[in-house]
Amino acid sequence: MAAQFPRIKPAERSFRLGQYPVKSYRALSGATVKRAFGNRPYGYELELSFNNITDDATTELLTHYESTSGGFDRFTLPDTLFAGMNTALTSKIQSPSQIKWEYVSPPEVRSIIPGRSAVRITLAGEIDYL
Amino acid sequence: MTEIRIAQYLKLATTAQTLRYQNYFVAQSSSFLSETYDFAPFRAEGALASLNGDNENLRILFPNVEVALRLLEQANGNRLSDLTFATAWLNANEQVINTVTDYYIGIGASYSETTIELRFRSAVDSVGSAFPSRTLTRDLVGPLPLNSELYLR
Repeated sequence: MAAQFPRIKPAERSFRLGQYPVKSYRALSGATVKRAFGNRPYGYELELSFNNITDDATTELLTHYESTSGGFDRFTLPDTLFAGMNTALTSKIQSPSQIKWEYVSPPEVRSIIPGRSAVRITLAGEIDYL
Repeated sequence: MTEIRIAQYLKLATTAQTLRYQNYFVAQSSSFLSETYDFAPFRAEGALASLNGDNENLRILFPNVEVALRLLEQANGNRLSDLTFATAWLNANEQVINTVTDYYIGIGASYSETTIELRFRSAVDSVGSAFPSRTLTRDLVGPLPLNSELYLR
């Protein structure tokens, strides 16, 4: 199992709740029938932006990505990422039931000035049932 | 009712033990007909009936994980298993309100890098109208067949 995500405060956060496993059938009349196949949402999304962070912090973020075998292993998120949110909201996002996080794509690094970079990371929360 | 919650309950009896799994309540156990079913991420495909009375075929697909491998080993490649497969409709409180149950026998399995497929055939089959209207017994025909491959001679 990969190490916990680095304790670095992001400049921006964007979160989308997971969806339930539902399929819909729409008849020609427009009437729909919906079928649910599970009782847990999946596919949470969290985007994190780190602006003007040091090279050391940037390296720490990239090292974490590598430690997950390039996004293969799942991990948990530290409280630091959710600074400013109250406890109830943080628990909804940080650790939904049976959810662990994984990288959707490799981190994107943009150089700002010498020694300072901006890093953008996109994570997905998927069901970890074992 | 246009919102339907569907749970599938799988009871697989092998020579070694009986395994019970369901695929709706993630990481939870579910009680069905007074028995406890653990969660497993399987899906079922392909049960069809035809006018010719061919056996129904059913495929149960598991991800290639330890529990599915163990299940295969115990059932000798899924050739010695009896499957009771129930599809349950749940209400908004996730209580079972209706079920359809089918019975199958294992006829084999196959692997891929991501999936383990267990193949089953219906345990009871129809007999065509051209067949003599007599009851098949072991005294008349010897060992009774398990499939629809019967021949009139």
